[in-house]
Amino acid sequence: MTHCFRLLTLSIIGFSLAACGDDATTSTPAEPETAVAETPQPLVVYSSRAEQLIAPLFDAFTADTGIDVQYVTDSAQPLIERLKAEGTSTPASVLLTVDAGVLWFAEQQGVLQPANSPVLDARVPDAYRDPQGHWYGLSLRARTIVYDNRELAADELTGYVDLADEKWRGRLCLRTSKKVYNQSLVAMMIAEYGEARAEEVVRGWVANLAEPVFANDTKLVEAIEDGRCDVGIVNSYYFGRLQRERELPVSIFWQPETLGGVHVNVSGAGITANAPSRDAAQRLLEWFAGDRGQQLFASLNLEFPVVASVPVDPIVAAWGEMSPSDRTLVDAGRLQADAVKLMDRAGYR
Amino acid sequence: MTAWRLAALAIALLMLLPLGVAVGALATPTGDIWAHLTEHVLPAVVRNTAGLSVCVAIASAVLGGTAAWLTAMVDFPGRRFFAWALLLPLALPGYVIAFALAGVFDYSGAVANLWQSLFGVRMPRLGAGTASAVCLSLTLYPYVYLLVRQAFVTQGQRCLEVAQSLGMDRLTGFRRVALPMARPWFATGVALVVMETLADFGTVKVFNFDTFTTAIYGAWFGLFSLPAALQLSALLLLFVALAVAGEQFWRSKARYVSRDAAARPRYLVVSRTQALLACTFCVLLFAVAFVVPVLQLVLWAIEMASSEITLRYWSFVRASVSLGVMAAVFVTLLGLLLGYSERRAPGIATTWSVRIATLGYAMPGTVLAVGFFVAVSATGDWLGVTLTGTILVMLLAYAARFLAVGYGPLGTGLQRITPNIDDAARGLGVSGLSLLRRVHWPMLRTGVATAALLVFVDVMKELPITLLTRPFGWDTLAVRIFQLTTEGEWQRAAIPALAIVAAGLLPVLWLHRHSDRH
Amino acid sequence: MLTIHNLYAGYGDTNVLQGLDLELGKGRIGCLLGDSGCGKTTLLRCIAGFECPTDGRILLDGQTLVGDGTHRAPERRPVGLVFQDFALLPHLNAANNVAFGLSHLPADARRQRVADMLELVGLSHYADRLPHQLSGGQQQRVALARSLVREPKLLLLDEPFSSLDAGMRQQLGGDIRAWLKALDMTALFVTHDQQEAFVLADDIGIMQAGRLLQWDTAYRVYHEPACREAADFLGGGAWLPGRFDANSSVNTELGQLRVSGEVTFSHNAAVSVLLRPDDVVHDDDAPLRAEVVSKQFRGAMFLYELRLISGTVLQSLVPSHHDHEVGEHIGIRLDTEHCVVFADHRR
Repeated sequence: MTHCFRLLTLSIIGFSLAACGDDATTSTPAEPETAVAETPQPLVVYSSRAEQLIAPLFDAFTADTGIDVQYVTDSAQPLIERLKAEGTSTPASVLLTVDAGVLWFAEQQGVLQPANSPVLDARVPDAYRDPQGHWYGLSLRARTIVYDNRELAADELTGYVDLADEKWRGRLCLRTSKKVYNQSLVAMMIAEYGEARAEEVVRGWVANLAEPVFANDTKLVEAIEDGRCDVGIVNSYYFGRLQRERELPVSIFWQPETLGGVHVNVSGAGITANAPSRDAAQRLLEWFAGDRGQQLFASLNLEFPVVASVPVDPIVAAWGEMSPSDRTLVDAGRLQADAVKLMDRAGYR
Repeated sequence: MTAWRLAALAIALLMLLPLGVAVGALATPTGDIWAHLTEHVLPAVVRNTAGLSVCVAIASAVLGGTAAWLTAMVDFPGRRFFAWALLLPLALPGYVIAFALAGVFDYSGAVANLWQSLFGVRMPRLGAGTASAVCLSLTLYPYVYLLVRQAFVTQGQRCLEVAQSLGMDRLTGFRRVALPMARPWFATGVALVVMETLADFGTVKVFNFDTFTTAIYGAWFGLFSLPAALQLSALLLLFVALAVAGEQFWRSKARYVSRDAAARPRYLVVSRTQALLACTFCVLLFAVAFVVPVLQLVLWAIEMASSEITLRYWSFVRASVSLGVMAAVFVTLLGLLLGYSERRAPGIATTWSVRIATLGYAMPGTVLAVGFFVAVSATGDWLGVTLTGTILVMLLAYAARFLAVGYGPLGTGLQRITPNIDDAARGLGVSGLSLLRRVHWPMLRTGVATAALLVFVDVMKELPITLLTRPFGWDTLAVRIFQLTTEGEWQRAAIPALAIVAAGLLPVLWLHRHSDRH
Repeated sequence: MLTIHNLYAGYGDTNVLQGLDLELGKGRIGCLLGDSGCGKTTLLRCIAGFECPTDGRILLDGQTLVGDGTHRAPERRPVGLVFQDFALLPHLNAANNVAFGLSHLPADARRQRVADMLELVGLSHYADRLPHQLSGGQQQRVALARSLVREPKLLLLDEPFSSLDAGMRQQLGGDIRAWLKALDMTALFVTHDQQEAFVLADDIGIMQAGRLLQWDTAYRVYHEPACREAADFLGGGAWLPGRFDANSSVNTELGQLRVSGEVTFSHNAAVSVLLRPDDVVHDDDAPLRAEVVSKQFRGAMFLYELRLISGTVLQSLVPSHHDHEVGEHIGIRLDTEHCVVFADHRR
């Protein structure tokens, strides 16, 4: 008994010390492994892109430039709130996300500043960046149609809108409307066809569903593999990842350019409004837009580079030529809330 | 006396920070969002949330209560093993068991294949609500099991004897005496379960079931409206208040402590069929809640081991364990402070402090984290120091979230130390610290261990607060799971998930050994 | 009514009961008296059915409760048990506690029986109170009523007064005895307190180390103990050494004393004579003097410890107006017709 009591007391003391110790070191939030003497202030990145898809890039960047990078990962919205709460005392210079919508929202919330970089403006096409340079897309994520190639031939498909047609009744699979990828897809449809037409399409999709909506794209592709539905809409890299694992009776379909091309979203980044290391932040973004950065950025996750001249991964190349939509992604953010409401109204869960 | 009251108020104030941010958001106009929500989102979401909570509460009470009764009272083969084994699902985060079970039962999973080869038809897909309820019940029943088992171990025997001496058979005795007696424990356990269910996001997300939390995230992430999300959270707190009130109601009516605890544990001798049934129940529960998901994780882990396991895993484990230990100690201390305030300075102020302080458990983690973060950084600005990004803030946020977990078992334990016991000890010249050490500590020990353990395991599994408030380099195993699952890499996430399970096992076993001595 | 034959019980290697026999007649109140650990509670639990004896038989009203390969479940024995801590159900009021074991009756009959029983134990006005709103004595009465209302053939009480204060014990003891007699209830209770035993019991058994030293009426257990241990345990007193005389008498330093019963020892054998405190009477005129070693005030009486010249210490109950100081020598004489004598093993 006394022994336990002593342990408890010890842990209390230990805790207080730990707490004090941490207070004392907050001014230099550097980890021993990453702290290098010649760069007293490392570049801090808030990233909603997962660590495994971003850490190798930072390593390569550090190797190329000698600039150290520290990062914290979380979902985008909490990171934006964190930036807002921290205000001028934020340690972060770069915000990196996997969706144009939140980048637009971040810009609206005033946590980003223009990069003023001719290099970035030249490399990143207009459609995939903020007109004022608050944020830049760095890789394209294509959300496209996949189909059961045992049941269907490519020429039976036309595009996203066609999937609302009655002939697909009981044959379509979709992922949940809560995923931002679907929200931006619908937002872009609102931009293209107007709200009424977009809602009609979404209602058509919902009517055609073969199964309740799926929680993720992988399960959706597996459902097609399993023969439960003939056609679905997924991000191409999920399909690519499964393809890397095993032979699939599923093929990818790109909506042709004549119909507006393939819906894409971006992984992108912007410099924070109160960036303590603005120059380093700009260098990081420019490095990402460079040939080496582009290739690494896209191939890590089987995505497409925003710079068209940079080659894609062989797996991706095998899917054939993809013409991305060139409608500005600012619309994806601007219309996202409308898209969500539209989907709620249409009963798309 | 007033010092105690002040302490309780201070703790409640701490918890009021995120609550205040949530309630304060009620004043922020959110345009037409509310009209949209009430028309298209809320009706289904309220229905789903209420249904899910009720189902999970009932299922957890039945599973946990049955398991507690069997392992505490009945002699059947494997009783000793199941007594601790049935606690193990506690170490499995809900989002992990969900994606593991989804893996087993879904299209390409083993069960679906078996089903197809046995019956020649496809296995029907479980509805999202049913699947969520099953998974949540399987991960949450240990809360009821742990607490109710304590009740049965200490007084189950006596309850049966009372009933039998009044001419009831054991089944009636269980129903009419033992169950009502165990009500305070049931109430605490079920309240924890309901609060966890209300706050759950990971599990319902895996199955795409629409609940209040998904609506909150939907408003924030989809409609870009944090104020609307916070307003929904404030509304959710109404549900929580109901759960808390329910607990108070059920607890207040029954306080029974046997004055002479059974000298030595006696187990009911039952017929062979009954023993077999008991055994089957435990085997099935253990298999579905623990063995199957863990096996699935192990299979995935083996597949992914070469690409995923690196030396960095040590730092994940270290971060998880040290945060868990620090939070367990911190939260338990706050819980004790709160418990003693309630004891030493009873009154409306303390009662409400306790209620408010334990509300955070049912707020969706991310909302609480942001509310806390916003409040703390505002305080920091005002004081002119940077508070955010320190371990201290992290611990305070954990406390805001998990104080209910820590307080539950402590409160129950403190009830057992009647004022008479204090007086008796004082009469023997034992008072002050000596009273705490020689009288209270031995009597509270189990409660303290239970509280600390539950908090430790919960913090190991915790995500949103850890994500938002961790200093650089404090990536935990749960954070690692988040990184992998956001990109849909469920199978790679098996490895950190297993590590969480493994780290959670030791304290679970320790707790079991200690709780059984009573 | 209750017959216990050659009962053995124990856990593992330890035998708590070692071949116990007992017979309790209909309508009688029996008491098992012994120190804690003597096995008396185990015996009670064997009768109630919560313990299973390793050997022997228990019969109630001619029917085997346990033994000969049968073991009737506790709930199927016509036996009531009042627990030491009363074990009232905290969430039920007094009436519902009493009604608790009557669920087989229709509601009307149940209400009537409960009301009658509460009236018998004098708690009619407390029917709606919850247990924690009742005093200890009232709780005890509820517990008793709860068992009696089921009309068991045998009522068992485990240390019925241990949680009550002394005044309450006397009062309640008398009441309980009256109620049990009114219902012609056969009852067996255990206690370690001989005062309780005398207040309540017709028959008293003295238990030691799993054996029954003596089972007899209260009067005989006190006045005619079966062995030295029994005599020591119950009633107190002192042992006066002496030599046995062939004429059923004993020669002691206080003279020749008559021996009761059919005891025979060889001539001149060393024996001890039991002298209860009431056997030694204070008499100022008596020639025999003894020194007061200590005294205890007991209200109406003093209990003196008196040392004889030989060094032997006796006890004496003396009316309390005879107040003597410690160290004083006072006159005593014996007021006894027949003495209890045992062989003296100590010398």
